[in-house]
Amino acid sequence: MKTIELKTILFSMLTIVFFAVNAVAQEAEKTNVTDSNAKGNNTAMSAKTDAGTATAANATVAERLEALQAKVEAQEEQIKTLSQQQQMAKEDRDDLSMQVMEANAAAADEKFTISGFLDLSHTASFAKYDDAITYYYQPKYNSFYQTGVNLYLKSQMTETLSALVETRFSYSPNGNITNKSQVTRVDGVETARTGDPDPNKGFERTDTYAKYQFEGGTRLGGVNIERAHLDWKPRDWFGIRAGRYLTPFGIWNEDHGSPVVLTVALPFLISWDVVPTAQTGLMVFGSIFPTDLLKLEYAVTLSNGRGPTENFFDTDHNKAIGLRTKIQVAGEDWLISLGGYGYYGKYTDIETEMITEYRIDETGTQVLDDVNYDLAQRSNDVITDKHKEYIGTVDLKLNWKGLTLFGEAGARKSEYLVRPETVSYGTTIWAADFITNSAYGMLAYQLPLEKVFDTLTITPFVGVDYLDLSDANDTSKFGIYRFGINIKPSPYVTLKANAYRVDSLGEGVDEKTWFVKSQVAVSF
Amino acid sequence: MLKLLKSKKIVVMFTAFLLLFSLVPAQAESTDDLVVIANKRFSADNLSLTEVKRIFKKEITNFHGTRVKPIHARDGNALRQQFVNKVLGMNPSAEKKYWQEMMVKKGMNPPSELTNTVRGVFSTPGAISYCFRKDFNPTTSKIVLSL
Repeated sequence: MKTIELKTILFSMLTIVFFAVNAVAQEAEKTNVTDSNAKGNNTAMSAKTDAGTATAANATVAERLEALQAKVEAQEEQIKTLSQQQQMAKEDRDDLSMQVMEANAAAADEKFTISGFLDLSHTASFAKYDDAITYYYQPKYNSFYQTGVNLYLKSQMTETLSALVETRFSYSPNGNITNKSQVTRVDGVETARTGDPDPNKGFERTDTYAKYQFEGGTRLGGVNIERAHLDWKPRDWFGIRAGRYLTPFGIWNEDHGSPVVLTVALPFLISWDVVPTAQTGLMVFGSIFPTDLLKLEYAVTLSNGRGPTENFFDTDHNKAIGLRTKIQVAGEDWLISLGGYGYYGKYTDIETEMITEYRIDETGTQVLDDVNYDLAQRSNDVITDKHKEYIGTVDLKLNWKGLTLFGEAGARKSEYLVRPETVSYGTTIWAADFITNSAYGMLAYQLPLEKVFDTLTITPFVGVDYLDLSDANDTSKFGIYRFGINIKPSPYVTLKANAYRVDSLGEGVDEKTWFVKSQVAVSF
Repeated sequence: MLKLLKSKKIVVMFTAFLLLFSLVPAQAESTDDLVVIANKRFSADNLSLTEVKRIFKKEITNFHGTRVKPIHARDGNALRQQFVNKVLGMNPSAEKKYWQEMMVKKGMNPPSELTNTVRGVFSTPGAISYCFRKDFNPTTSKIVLSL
C-alpha cells in the first residue's frame, strides 16, 4: 500500500516538472522570436537609411512644407474669425451710433416741432330771392375761398415748461368790409341811411394793395396770433397757462381747425363770438382720473376780458373771470361727456384825450394853469361803451360705436353801464341791453369701414343750428338745417361736402336760402 | 381597496391638475407676448392697462411728479402694430388720425419713435415703452405691465 502511494506521488511530481519545463521552454522560444524580429527591423531601417540618404532630405522638406501649409491654413482661419469679429464689432458700433442719433432726434422731436394746417373751400348759394337779407350776412357769390394757413410752433423746454404758438397767416385785412350801409324806407321813400356799425359812414372795405417800388404791386395779408402761451405744468391736475389762449369752452372752439371739425361752415355760436373764442391773461387748469372710466377737467380763467384791444392790453381795471368744468365717462366703445363754462367780464371802449388847462395871467398872457389845477396837463379817458357780459355755455357729447351726438348751447347777457350812442338824421339812439342765444346739435355716424379700408373714414351727418342775435331785435333770428359728408382718405386729408339751409326767422323776413359748401383741409 | 382606489384617483387628478397648471403660465408668458417696460427709476412698479393707454395718448403726462415719456416703436413695426391694437384699441391709421387731430386741437405731438425701444427706455428717465418678452432685459428696465 505504501509502495503504491509513493509511486503515485512520484508520478505526479514528474508530471508537474514536465509541464513546468515545457512551459519554460516555450517562453524562451517566444523571446527569441521577438528579439530576432527586432533585430530584423533595425537591420531593415539601417538598410533603408543607408540605402536612401539622398531621399531623406526631400522627405524633410515635404514635411516642413506640409507643416507650413497647415500653419498657413490655421492662420487664415484665425484671420477669417478675427475679420468676422471685427465686422460684428463695427455693426454693433454703427447700431449704437444709430441708437444715439435716434435718441437725440427723438429728444429734439420732443423739444421743438413745427406743424400746421390749411384748407381750400368753395361756396355756392341758392336763394329764392336774389336780394335776400341772408346775403347781408352770408356770401352771395359762388366762390373759392381760403381762410388762411395755421402754423404751430411747439417747444417742451423742460420737464414742466412748454410753449405753444399758433399763428394764422391770412389775406385779411384785405377785403374786410368795415362798414355796411343800412337804408330805411317808408312807403318806398328813403327816410334814413346809416352805416353798420358806424352810422355816420357808408360802405367801406379795406384794400391793402401796396405798390412795389419799381413795378407791379401786391395785396398785403396779415398774421393773426390765434394763441401764444407758456405752460407750467408740474402735475396733470395743476398747470398754469400764461399768454393768449383759446377759451376752454364747449367742443368746437377747442377743436377749431378745419381738418378736425365736421362741417365747412362754423356754427353760429362760434362765428358770432357769443363767447370770446380766445382770451389774454392767465389760466389754471388740470385733469384727474378718479377711476378707469372717469375723467374730470377744470380750468379757471382770468383775463382782460373782451374789449377793442383786449388781445394785448385792457381798457379798464376789471378783469374777466371764468370757470370751466367737464366730466367725461368713457368705456371701450362709448363715451359720455358733459361740460360747462361760465364767464363774467366788462367790455369797455375808451377814447383817450389830453387836456391842457390854461389861464390868463396878470400880464394878459396865456399860461399853464397850475394854480387852479394840481395837474395843468393831464389825460382823460372818455368811455364810449361799457357793458357787463354774463356768459354761460353747456356742451354734451355722446358716442357709441361710431355714432356721435353732440351739441352746445350758449347765452350772453349784455348790460350797459355806458351806452354807446348813435346819431342818425339828428336822432340819437342809445344801445339797449340785450341777450344773445345760440345752440347747435349734430348727429354723425362714422361708417364701419375699418375692415374694408385701412385708412378711409366716411362720416355722414345732419345738424341744426340756431341764433338769436338780440332779444331786443325781432329781425335777427336765424335757423340752419344742415346735412353732409366728411371723408378722410388719409389721416392728413379731410374732404367735406355740406348743404345747409339758412332760415331767417325774424318777423317779416321769412326767407330760406340754400348753401352748398365743400372743402379740402390738410394737416401737416 | 375602495379607499386606495379613491386615493389613486385623487393622485392622478392632482397630477393632471399640476400639469395643466404648469402649462397655463407657460402659455401666458410666451416669448412673443408684449410687455410694457419702464425705466428702472420710474416711480411706479405696476401700471394698469388704462393708465398705459392714457400715457400713450398723452392724457397722463406726469406720474408721481415725474414727467412720463412714452416711446413708440417705429411706425410700421409689427411690435408697434400689436401694441396699438391691444392697448389703444386702434389700427395704426386710426392712431395717426388721432395724433393729427390732437396736433390741431392742442398742439400735441405723438410719442417719440425708436427702433430699439429697450435701449430707449434704458437711457431715458421717465420713459415707458414696450417690447416682446424675449427681448426684455431685467438689467436695463422693468416690466410694469404684461399684455
